[in-house]
Amino acid sequence: MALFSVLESISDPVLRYLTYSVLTITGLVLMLLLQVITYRIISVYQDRNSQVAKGIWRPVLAEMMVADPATIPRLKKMHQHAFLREWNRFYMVLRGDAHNRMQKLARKTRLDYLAHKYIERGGMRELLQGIVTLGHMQDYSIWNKLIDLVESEHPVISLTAAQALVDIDSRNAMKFLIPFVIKRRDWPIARVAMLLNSASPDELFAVIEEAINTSPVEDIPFLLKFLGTSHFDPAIRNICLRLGSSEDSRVVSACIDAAKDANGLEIARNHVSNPAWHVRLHVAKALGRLGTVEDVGRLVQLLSDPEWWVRYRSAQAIAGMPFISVDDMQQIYDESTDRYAKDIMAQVISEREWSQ
Amino acid sequence: MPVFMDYINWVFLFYFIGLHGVYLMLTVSSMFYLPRFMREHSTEDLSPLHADFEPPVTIIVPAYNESATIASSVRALLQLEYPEYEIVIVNDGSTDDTLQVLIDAFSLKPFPEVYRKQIETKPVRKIYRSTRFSNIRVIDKHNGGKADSINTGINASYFPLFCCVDADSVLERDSLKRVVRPFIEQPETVASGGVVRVLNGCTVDNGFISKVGLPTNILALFQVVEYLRAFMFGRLGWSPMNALLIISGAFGVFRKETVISVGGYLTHSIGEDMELVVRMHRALIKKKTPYKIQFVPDPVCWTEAPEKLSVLRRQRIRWQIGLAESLTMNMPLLFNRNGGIVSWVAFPFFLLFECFGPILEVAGFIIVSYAFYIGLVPNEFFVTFLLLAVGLGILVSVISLSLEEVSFRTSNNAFELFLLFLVAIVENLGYRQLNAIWRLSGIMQWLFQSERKWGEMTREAGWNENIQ
Repeated sequence: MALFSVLESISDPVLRYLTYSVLTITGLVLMLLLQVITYRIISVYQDRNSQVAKGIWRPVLAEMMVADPATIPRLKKMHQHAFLREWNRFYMVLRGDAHNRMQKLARKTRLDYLAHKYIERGGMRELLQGIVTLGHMQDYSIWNKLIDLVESEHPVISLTAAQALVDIDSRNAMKFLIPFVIKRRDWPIARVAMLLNSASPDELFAVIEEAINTSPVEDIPFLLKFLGTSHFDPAIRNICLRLGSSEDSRVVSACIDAAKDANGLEIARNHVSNPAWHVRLHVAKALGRLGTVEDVGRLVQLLSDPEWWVRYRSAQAIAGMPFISVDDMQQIYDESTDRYAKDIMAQVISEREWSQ
Repeated sequence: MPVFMDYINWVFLFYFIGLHGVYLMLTVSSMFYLPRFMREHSTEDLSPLHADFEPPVTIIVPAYNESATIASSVRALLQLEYPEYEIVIVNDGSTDDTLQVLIDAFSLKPFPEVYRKQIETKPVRKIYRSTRFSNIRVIDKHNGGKADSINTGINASYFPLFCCVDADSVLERDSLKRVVRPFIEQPETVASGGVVRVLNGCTVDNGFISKVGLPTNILALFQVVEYLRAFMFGRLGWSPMNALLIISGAFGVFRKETVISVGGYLTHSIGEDMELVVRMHRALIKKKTPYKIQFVPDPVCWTEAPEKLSVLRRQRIRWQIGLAESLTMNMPLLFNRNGGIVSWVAFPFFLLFECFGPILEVAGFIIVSYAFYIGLVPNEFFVTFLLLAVGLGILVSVISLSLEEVSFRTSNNAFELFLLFLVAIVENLGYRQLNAIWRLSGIMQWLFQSERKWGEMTREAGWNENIQ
């Protein structure tokens, strides 16, 4: 009160406002100091708690990897969070039967109850931990909620929910997720590929083929990328044969990149002189991967390409062919009249010699 | 005189409101972004978003007369946790035995490699490859400066991303993983950088930080808070708005294709790291290409701070000249119709407050002090205004400290925390004003000198002795 009366006694309004500002800033600085101290005390307490929880539960989790332990300690409330994290970490490095035992432990310690509670609370960190845990526990009761969460605008939440669906039931999850993959361009491609790899090739192929048939041209390279990463060797052939003559160079590139058999090789051969350099680059790689003796001439032609990467990949493709020896490469070098072809061959010959 | 003082008052008032208005915006941005970042990445170990998908990276290490430290620095780089990377060391015509040290340490042999000149550089003498480490190459070239060396490294690199590392930077083992993360999460990312910290006072073993500590030297201690303020508050605040104008030259990852398309680093610029980022903004906005330049709030790189006043002064003058050059060389970015926040807020802020601000700050201090001396400003006004100015400075520093505390908590104990808090207050009573004078000196040199030199940067590099 005394302070206010002093402030009110300042007659100049500007000076009064300045004084108010100084006092506000002082208050804010003190508040921040208090916040930092409080936060540090809480963190130290949490760290200690977590260490104690790990000390108790790590041996139990380690025992659970091979057999059911004789006794399972009671999970104290203050150790719940640390245990949930440890349980998930252990679960992720285990395979097979150990997963069943870990799920049994989770049910005994009522981890599912905790995870549901985390999801209900809705805070980001707890939500993600809850989703991951219930996914690992293969808890069907959360399925519908996960379907809702996949539609979340936040890519981390939607992807974590998608992964949990796959963990619970990959077959049913894929039916639902594939249309999402096409829609959700904010999902990192690498992560989507990882999700798709959990599904059976037949199921996946049918959905992606349908999407390719109905999607605009600019979406096709994106979809073909997933076919490439998901190893549909026989199934991809028809799509590539159909799209290999597309006028869109990105589609052609994607087809050649995904090619894995003689039909794919034929597409690559047809595009040795394609005006787009990235198509020629994929041609060089495909010829190296699938080509025969008669393709060496095509690769030699690409050694004089105006684009360095095409020349380099062509030379590497020649060097990587199983029937090409260092002497053969030397012969190609000797017979080359183009300076660029000679330079790149010299480099790749040295690379091959050094790697042996 | 009173009328003149009125005008002066208004100028200072607008400057003051503008500066702290932007600070307030950055505070809100940082306070919103950092907790979100921490939450999103807190479950990374439970749901690895990026595992096995990191794109290969070329690490470019420009080296000029670094014979004492280069071998140990490269050995430390070899221990980075990253699935696929190559190290390209560019010997920039060193006059000492840097090249010979590298040849001996890594069993280098000349290699008939085709040098792909995508960016114009000084001629390359020879390219070497290590016979022991397949991912090490050394490019020996004629002297052309740091920017020219990085351009040479870009030309010689094989991978789509490249990372510039100063030969004397100390990294975390997972630094590369953390800084590459935005490229995986958002494919339109063209550059990303992380928090650079002060190395002084830390213990370094085998090229990596084994214990974080605070320096005993007061100047270095001031710089600890200064770095925190610059990164946790400044860069973190601009990043969510895609308006980051600088990525530290000590450690940053770039998309090679984009850097080549804008012509690489500018060889005659002192602040080549900032200039490149500003030019990338300018070029990509002009092309209307969607892009992101991102800042990762993880501590990824530790660098030695000058402990001598003269060295620090030279560094700050150089930074100020670099800043002025970077901005004035890219003036078309200012108020660009399609530029968004970077053109309408960040660039004008940097130009007015960061670049030319020291003129007003120093002039303000002199004029107000003089006016107070001759009795034009009453005592209580002078004292209150001074308290307000210093108080706001303290507030900004303390906010940075609190952001650091709720996120990465690198101070070891309560004493260090208290010491940092104290420094955050004390540095506003003299050190920041001294900095303003140095920055003013930098601006004057930039305005009136035609030839600019880097000046000598003396580093203690005591940590390097621990590297085997």
